[in-house]
Amino acid sequence: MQMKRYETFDHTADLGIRIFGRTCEEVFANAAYALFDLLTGLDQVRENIAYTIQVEAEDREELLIRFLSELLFLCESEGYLFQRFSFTHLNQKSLKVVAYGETFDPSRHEFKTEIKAVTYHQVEVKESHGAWEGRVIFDL
Amino acid sequence: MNDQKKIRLEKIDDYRWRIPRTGKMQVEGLIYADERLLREIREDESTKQVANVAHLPGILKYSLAMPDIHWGYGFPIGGVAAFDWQEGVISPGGVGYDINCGTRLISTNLSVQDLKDKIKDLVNALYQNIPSGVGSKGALRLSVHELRQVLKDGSAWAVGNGYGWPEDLDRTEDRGCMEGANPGVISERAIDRGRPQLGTLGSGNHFLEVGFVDEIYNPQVARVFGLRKDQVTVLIHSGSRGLGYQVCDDFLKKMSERVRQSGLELPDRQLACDYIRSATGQDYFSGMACAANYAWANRQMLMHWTREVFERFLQMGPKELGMHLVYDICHNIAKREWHMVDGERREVCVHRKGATRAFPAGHPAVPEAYRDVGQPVLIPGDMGRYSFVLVGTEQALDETFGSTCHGAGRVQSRTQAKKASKGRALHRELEDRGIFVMAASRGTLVEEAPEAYKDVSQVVEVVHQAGISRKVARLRPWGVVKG
Repeated sequence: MQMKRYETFDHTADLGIRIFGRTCEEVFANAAYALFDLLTGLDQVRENIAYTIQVEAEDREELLIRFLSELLFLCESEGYLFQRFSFTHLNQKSLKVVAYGETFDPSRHEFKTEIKAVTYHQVEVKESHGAWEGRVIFDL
Repeated sequence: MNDQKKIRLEKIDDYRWRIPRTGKMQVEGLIYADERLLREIREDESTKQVANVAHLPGILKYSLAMPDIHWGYGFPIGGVAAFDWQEGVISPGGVGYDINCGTRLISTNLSVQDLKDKIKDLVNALYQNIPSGVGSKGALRLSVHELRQVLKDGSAWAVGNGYGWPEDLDRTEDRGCMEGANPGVISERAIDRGRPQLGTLGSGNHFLEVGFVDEIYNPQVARVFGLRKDQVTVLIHSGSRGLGYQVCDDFLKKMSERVRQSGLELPDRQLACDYIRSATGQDYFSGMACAANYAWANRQMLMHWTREVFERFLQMGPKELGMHLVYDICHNIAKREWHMVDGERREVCVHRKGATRAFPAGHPAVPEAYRDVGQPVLIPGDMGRYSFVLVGTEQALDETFGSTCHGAGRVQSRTQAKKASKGRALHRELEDRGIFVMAASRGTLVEEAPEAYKDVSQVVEVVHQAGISRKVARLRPWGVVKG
């Protein structure tokens, strides 16, 4: 059975996600998936483009936040919707990933939620009992 | 969650609560609330946040909180804090992500009778003509150069380009332009996020609402504001869109790094800040001013299109319609202002995060037309109940650096609101109450259901009784466009 990718939780007026994965890469990929799933719902997104993203940071938590902020920026400025992420490199301080998806098309896609920013509040990426888990809060 | 239990509150009177100084707090905390609201306030960590803000260098008098206070990033939403301009700090978390989120109220010559059979179609026409919704893009395609002009000039750019009338500027806080805006300090990223979104309402709690005046509390002041019973009004709530969010995000990062380097001791790392006089502090102030100006231009354009839709739809001229701007006010901002502190006139940086300016009669910053009565204060409520028009007071200037509350504040989380609306036709329920809503998505509509918010009248009652602003009129929503 496929493992649950993420779940949402409330944080006052904002929205948190708990992300699951067997590896750290899966947590990063599922966090990115969650971001777009909340923004638009991904069932209507096709894979027409492949976009390479590189991010650097001071530690793994910051890396996750910078990665998600980059995706949010690409979505708002270019209208990219991504649904699949393939990592070529990921360590504590840097990552390189190819994101697959397409450009927003108002005839098929709908934006559901506006996310203002990915915050540092209670951010976490950790391994426990052989599984990985992450936590991020979005400012809505 | 156990932490907030440690915050001791002392009752001063029915509407004021003190957080006494402990540890390294520079000043006391002061919360405006009645007992009922206080019970809700204590459910999150916002009282602790009020105490945290009191630790920051250069804070003057009190760390203040309005009755609509709730948890926010670093500073509570509903918080007011003023810092000495020479020795104090400035903090992006003290302003919020949506820089110069604010409201604007437009009066009309129309009465409820005039729109009785037309409201549904009018709201539909507004919805068709005013870009709203998540990530919505405007009809405008500005060059980077033009956008920089917007960032420098704010509302004046909009009026100069045909979006509105010169008189609108007289009735906008700071005439719709904050001094010191320097687009050079803004990231390319902020420009790229903001460029396609100018002239859009956005989503979440942003709205455009046709309503009417259903109660007048102070006839003399209402007359000066141009408000009368049964008059049709329009209320717009929007901000600086992706540009403002990005400016906040960029400077939170920069200031966190600065805090790490300088070793400034903070009770919470989310209070990232820097001295106002530092290079980063000055840059943030200039960048925030750009975002504030963007927001003013944005609301100015939204108002202009609203006027156009009214004119076309009702086949009436602008004179006949009389859609004058009553006032435009921001509720997420840091301002350079002069205030009396312990008998001395001081230059300060007032952070208002989810708080509104409320200057009294006679203050030079109040538009000439209102100078005899005081500055209009606009308090939007939820879409099912009402919004309020208040007026600023001398007492606000004495106690709260001329500030008051800003809105209702949530009581239900988004998920709770969604659950509560499962299987309900919220549209119909509102329609049965005589309120027509056009929303870009059902998601936003249910998250913004009326019962998800505090009753704004409770919040307003506190600031009225405490004397930091006075009730003038109550507006009832009639037709609402939600993002």
